[in-house]
Amino acid sequence: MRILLIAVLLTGLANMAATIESGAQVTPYDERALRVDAAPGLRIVRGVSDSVVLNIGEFRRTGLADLVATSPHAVEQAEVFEKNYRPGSWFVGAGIALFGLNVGLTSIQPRPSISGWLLPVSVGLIVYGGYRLQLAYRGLQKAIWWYNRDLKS
Amino acid sequence: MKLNLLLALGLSALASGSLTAQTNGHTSATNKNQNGAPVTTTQSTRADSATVYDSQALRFEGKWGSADIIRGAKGEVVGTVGWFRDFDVEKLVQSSPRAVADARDFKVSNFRGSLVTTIGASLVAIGIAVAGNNSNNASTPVLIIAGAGGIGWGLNHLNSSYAALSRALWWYNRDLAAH
Repeated sequence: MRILLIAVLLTGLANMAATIESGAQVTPYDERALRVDAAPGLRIVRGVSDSVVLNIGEFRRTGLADLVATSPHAVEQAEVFEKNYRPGSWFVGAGIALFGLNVGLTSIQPRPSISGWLLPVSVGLIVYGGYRLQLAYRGLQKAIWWYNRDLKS
Repeated sequence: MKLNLLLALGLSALASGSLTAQTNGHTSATNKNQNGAPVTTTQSTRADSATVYDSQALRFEGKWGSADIIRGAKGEVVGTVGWFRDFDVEKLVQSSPRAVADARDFKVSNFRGSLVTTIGASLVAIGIAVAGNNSNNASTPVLIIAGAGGIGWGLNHLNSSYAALSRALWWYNRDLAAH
């Protein structure tokens, strides 16, 4: 009977210790998993602490592929992002600039002949740039998904 | 006395071992790798975790002003959010309390952002239409500038809302292994 009592006590103690240990355990996901965060542009943050590991500017190389280099699938998707993000930003930027120019020209009388094609060209540039940006964002989300997935395997 | 103590230790070790095996996903006795050799508990737990992640983890992909929420490696679309869509993200991520809080943030910011961006775009369109009619209306620049401001403010909110969605899905995916 005494043996059983001691056994129960020891079991309880062992389980308490195990629970405390597992509760305090920090997983690789908690420490290293990435996500996209909003800044004035885009930025990538890591872990529960939300430490910023990458700021993605619109018009310069991002270095996302290097960040997710440990996961081959993620690198593949990061390259899709890199390939489309900058061109997409440039096209949208140019489209917005031409659109602004078109708006400015509408107040000039008589209206210059150039303003006839400025609007469709600017809309075309914005749509095409938006399409490239969309491809880029898909690549970014997939890259991060795969990187985080490989942290768990 | 020593024998009693040893017996007690033995019993407690057996009981602890059995409980640990249960909490680790009842794997150690039956799991084998491709060569038929037993795998360690840690390896099998991580493999389980990756399998759960492959089939359950969420992400989103933008699509002209809205976003598809996609589950798993196969890319099953479970819903579409954005631009006045009312897909319930809170319900989708309800298994993770922290994800639910971020999903709520997403809902509020996304609605505000969508509304103000739409109003802003409408004002710009009206301003351009008025200017295009060759009428020297003083309200034209006001409409265009106010509209552009609205678009800027709205897009900022939309950007924040997608960051909240990203956070919600991050927490949901993080808590997948725990369920």
